[in-house]
Amino acid sequence: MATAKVLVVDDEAEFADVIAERMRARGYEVDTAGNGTDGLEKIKDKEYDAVLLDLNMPGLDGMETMKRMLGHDNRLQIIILTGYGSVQKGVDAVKQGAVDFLEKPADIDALTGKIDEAYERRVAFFEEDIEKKMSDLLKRRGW
Amino acid sequence: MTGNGGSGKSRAMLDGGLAFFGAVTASVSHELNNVISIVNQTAGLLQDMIAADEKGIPINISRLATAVGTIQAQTGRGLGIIGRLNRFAHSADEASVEFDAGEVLGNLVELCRRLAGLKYAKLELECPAGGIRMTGNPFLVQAAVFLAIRAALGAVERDDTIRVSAQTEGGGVLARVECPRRIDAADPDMAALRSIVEYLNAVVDVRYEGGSVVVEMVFAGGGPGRSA
Repeated sequence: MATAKVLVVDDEAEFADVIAERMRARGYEVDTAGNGTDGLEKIKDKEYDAVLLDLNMPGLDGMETMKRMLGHDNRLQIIILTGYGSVQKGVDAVKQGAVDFLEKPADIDALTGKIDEAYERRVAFFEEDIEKKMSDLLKRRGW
Repeated sequence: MTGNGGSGKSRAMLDGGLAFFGAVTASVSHELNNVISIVNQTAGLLQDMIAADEKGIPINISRLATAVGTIQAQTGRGLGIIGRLNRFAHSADEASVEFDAGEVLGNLVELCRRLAGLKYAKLELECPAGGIRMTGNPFLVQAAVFLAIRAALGAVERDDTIRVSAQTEGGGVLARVECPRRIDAADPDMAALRSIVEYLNAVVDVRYEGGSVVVEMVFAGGGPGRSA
């Protein structure tokens, strides 16, 4: 069974590390980044099925990081982590391109559920791409 | 509260004070949320380890110890934050009271460290070791200094240092905020700062020295038992 690749971007290293550890124990392949700039570099080097992105970070904040990540890959599945009671910020992020959001502290099962949904969407995109390429190839061959 | 007359000036002072209150409490709530999140997830990790042990995967004692240490450290961090918030909250108890300006500004600087960290900037505080007694409104004195700090944070670049200092001077208390970059003269925080300073019958001077800015505020009431 394929493993979902996840990037956790959060300036609270202990939070990112423990979330990553718990997800790895559940079978996910997880990397972490401590700020938006490092997160951007990581998505350019590796394809991720989902990105967990904190909104409030030093330097590039979450919203700006998300915009730049989507500029690089507009099908990237970004799940925003907001502060408790910051539902409106999560909603605003979804309007700007995030696929979902969770309020911290974030229940691990809810988190992995959203990652699994993101992974399925990502797989569906690739399947569409393959179908289109196959269709184009067949048309070129006159089939 | 003492202060100049005029509802417009009072309104501007109130708005500045509220902006200070909102910014500090928002920052503190975010930081506490992070502490709780780390504790919550680490507790979840312990649950995972227990569940794994029940399935025959022995608990890694070293990892367990590290996790427990994390919970303890974050609890200490949370208590520190709550202590600072509590001192901040009580600074609004009385409009005129004798207090240690060094201690109050020290607490303010600690409350602002997270905001500075978001800009990758540093905050330094310099106060006399014996404290600075004064009589006045500790909440509004903090608000004025906070607005200068926040205006400076709007101008700084990565690794810059904002220096905050306080000392007695001429029967009053001089609080200084030094920023290594030019603060926009139209920054709304500077206007709010001036409203508060005026309301307190204090004096503010903003000096542009090359590429840097020094904001100096002199509050009356320096020394124990003096009236503001």
